[in-house]
Amino acid sequence: MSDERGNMTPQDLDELASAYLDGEATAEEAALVESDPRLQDLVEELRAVRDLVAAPVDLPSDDVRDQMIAQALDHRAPVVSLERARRRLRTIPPQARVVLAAAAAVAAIAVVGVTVFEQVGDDNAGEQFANDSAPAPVMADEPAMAVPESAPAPEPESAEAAGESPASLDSDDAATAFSAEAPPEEMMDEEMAVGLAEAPMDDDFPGDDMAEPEPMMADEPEVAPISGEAPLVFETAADFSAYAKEVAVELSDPPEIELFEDTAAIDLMGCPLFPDEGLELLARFDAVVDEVEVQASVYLSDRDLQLTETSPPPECELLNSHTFVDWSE
Amino acid sequence: MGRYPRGIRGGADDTELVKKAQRGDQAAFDALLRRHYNQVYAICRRLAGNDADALDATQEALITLVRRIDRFDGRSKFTTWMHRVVTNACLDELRRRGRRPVPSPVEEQPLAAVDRPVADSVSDRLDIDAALAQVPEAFRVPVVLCDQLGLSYEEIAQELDIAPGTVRSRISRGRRRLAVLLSGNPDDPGQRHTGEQP
Repeated sequence: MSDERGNMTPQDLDELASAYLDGEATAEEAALVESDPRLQDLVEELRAVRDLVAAPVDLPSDDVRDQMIAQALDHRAPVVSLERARRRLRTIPPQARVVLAAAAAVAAIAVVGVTVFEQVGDDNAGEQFANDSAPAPVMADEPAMAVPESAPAPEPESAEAAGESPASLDSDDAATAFSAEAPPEEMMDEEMAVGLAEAPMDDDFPGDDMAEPEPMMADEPEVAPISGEAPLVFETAADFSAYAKEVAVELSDPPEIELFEDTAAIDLMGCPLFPDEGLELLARFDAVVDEVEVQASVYLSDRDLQLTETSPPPECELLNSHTFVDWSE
Repeated sequence: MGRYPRGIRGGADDTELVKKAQRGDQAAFDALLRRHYNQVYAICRRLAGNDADALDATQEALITLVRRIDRFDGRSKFTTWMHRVVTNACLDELRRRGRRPVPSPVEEQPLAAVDRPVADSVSDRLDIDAALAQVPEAFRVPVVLCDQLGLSYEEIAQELDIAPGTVRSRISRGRRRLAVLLSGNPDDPGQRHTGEQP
């Protein structure tokens, strides 16, 4: 046994004792620890440290907790007027439209597909978890503690960075400019860069690190980014329908497209995506209309569709990206 | 080992609440945050080093969870995703403040009496914050996730996207640093590691 220990560095011994303490040692390692009093001493030393870190923290009062949770929930998307949604839509950077135009060139018809899910009592509606065949934005569940080395170059997120004059934008534009690209990375301090060399990119996402938005009018609520983290909430179904159509128009170039008029509750014959049948997804976003969760899908298609008002069948996993597809991928 | 019941760490209830929260169910979201609040705060408290920064970091973490819930895709456990988001949000908040963890003033005293064994003083609970503040983030985070939340190496590896072997090494080295700092004994065997860089 002492021979087995003999080749170990002090750090190896610590690691062995620490793993044993956590029940993470192999059977062989555990036997080694249990047969060596010096390793047992190390275990006890590290146990004392572990117990200190594991000591319960003093939790805030229930009132403070309730207040913090309420404040966090206030950051859900507020109701947005059609006009404000339109203004935001117009902030899509030109480079994004160029990319979208390439897709439009091969399509003849633009379709606004809308799938409506009841908030309660619709089992299928719960099957919304991502199945991203489309390029996904940086996800929130990316690894904690990251270094920027593997991150792609950031795209300009603000309208100003996208080449537009800030003066041409509405007050909320800077905060809601569209981006389908990866977000900017925060610079890490030296310690992180060294100590976390294995960790990939940070847990940021579009909208997190944009320039400070201009102040908004007092009666205008903050609006979530169009590609952002919360669904748009429309005042009326008509507003939503109008907005969905405008998305198709805005994102289609050339604009000679035909829009179906009846788009209030449309499912594209079951599964929302038929890439092998000529349908191309331009954009998808979540919305809430009359307290009903809606997934809006803006498609380009080279054929007519028979539109029906159904929920998607269970086998259809919906994209839950509520973001615009980056056609450059 | 962790301070919070494993019963609140996930399961079918979380899945259902998350789905409802993603569909805009405010009550479900409230329940979800309420269920995990203690864990969120515990992570932030240990990483921040004092109550004031922990409260701010917790608030930011909760807001981040609310804003990003739609991006949780269900491919991992909700708690795994949550720990990532919370850890990042907390660290981001601390970085925005341009500081390392700062223990409360009452804790800004010599870490421990010389020759005092680890965990042998009533001030240990205060000392631990000061000691943790001096441990590099790369080691501090896995130690906190392991010891405070009771996560396995595999779970921590998943959350930090590092190999389980790296988790094992970092936890060990983090604990060694803490042992040295808490003992205040220059002759502590842990001094053999003080030359290591994170």
